[in-house]
Amino acid sequence: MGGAGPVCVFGVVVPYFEWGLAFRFSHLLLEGLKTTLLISIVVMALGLVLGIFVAAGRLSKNPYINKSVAAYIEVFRGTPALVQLVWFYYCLPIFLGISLPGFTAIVIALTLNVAAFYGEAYRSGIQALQKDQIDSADVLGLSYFQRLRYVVVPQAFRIVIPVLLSLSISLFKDTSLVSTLGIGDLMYEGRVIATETYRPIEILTSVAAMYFFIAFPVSLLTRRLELRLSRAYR
Amino acid sequence: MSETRVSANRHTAPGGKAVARPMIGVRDLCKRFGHVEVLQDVCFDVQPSEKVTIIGPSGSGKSTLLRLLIALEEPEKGEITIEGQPFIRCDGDGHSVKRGKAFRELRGEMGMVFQQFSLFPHMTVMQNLLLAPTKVQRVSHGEAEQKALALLEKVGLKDKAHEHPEKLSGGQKQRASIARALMMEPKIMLFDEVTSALDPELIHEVLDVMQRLAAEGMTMVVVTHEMGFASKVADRVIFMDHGRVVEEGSPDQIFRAPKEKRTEAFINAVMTHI
Repeated sequence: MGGAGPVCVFGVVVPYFEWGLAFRFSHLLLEGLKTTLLISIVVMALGLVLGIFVAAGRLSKNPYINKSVAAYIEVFRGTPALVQLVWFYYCLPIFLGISLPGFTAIVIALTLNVAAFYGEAYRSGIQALQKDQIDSADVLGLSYFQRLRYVVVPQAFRIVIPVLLSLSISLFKDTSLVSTLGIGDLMYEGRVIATETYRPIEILTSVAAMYFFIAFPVSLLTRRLELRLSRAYR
Repeated sequence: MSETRVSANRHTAPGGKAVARPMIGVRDLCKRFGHVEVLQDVCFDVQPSEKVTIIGPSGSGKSTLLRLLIALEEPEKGEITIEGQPFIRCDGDGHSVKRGKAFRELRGEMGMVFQQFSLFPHMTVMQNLLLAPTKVQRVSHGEAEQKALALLEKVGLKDKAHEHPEKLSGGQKQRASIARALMMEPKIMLFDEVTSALDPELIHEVLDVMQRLAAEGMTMVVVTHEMGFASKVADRVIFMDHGRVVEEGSPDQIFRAPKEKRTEAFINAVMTHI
């Protein structure tokens, strides 16, 4: 009788799921997806560039630069991204005394957050290089920047690409946090539709599926790259 | 100071003639890593075209010495001259290291080959050879390529020019590393245990290349455990232990009639295991 209970409930509940609801509101969900993709792409691009400076600062022999960058990394890696968003969205315009568009504030917050992770990924890639590689380039007479350009970055980049892709997939999903600030991304639109239709399971599951169908191919690409790189550097 | 240490301070070429300007001059070189004294008051000269082999147990400071010669490390005290010109100097007692005015040019006179091949894996053999001449010496691509092909033929790797290092055996990688160093036309070649990471059957192909280089008159400083190579090719052998030069002399003297007990013990131990 205990096992029959859940089966009866399931038999009663399942016919009441309206999985076609998402298609009825697809235009709103797609608008939200556009915002999500825009935020993700802008933040990724800025974060990948800023991450280079973060890594350079972290590898710097100057103790002031090194410790300042380390402190920045620990703060942004060790505190919830939602709290960082709230600080930049509500508090930063007050401290700066200027009117900052909401989109700009959240892009700044997410960029600073993701750059901390990207920077550490770059740093670990550079430090994973065998010292002999850098010494060889040094004794051949290559300057510091030539060593970076021709020897260090090409090799380190190959090592860190899978990590960067994984971080980017996480970022793509973490942009859903902006929905709590009223930014009309995919999650925001999904929550609004769910509230209006009283169908949170169908709508939010559909939203999750949309995130999945974008993140999964990138995840597959990451795995393929990891395999290819592990073969190339045997 | 023993007689053999005194001889380290005389500038003598092979054949016993005094030479005013050694190719490499090392005076009172000291190096420390943390609290560990890795090199202590090392003094020796290398004359033009001389082949000097440095032997000794692991941890005796041989590789650190080579790294100091090519300025991959900085000394705590001492002086290095190249072709009689100041290269690196440190007065010790917390003084900073001073580089000579011609530091860059003098460093360019030296090439070094490492134990772990150190070819750049993301480049083909040809690209490895072309990188430094085209980017540092600004040689044209065509001219550099001609020279690279000639060098690869010399080391027996012409057919591997467009392969990536992952496709090469250990011996081939090391020969390619030697060719890459020779592309910069150094006057001095430093070899840091270049056969230690190779399978025994691949060692001879690298030693053959080094012997040919030696026969052409290249000044060489070779850290090696290959006593056969040292006895056959070297003009002078330096034995180091615990960061000091214990003894130096001709291969005959060091291998058959060492003066120092420590040298004798090392040679006996090494020869027993061959």
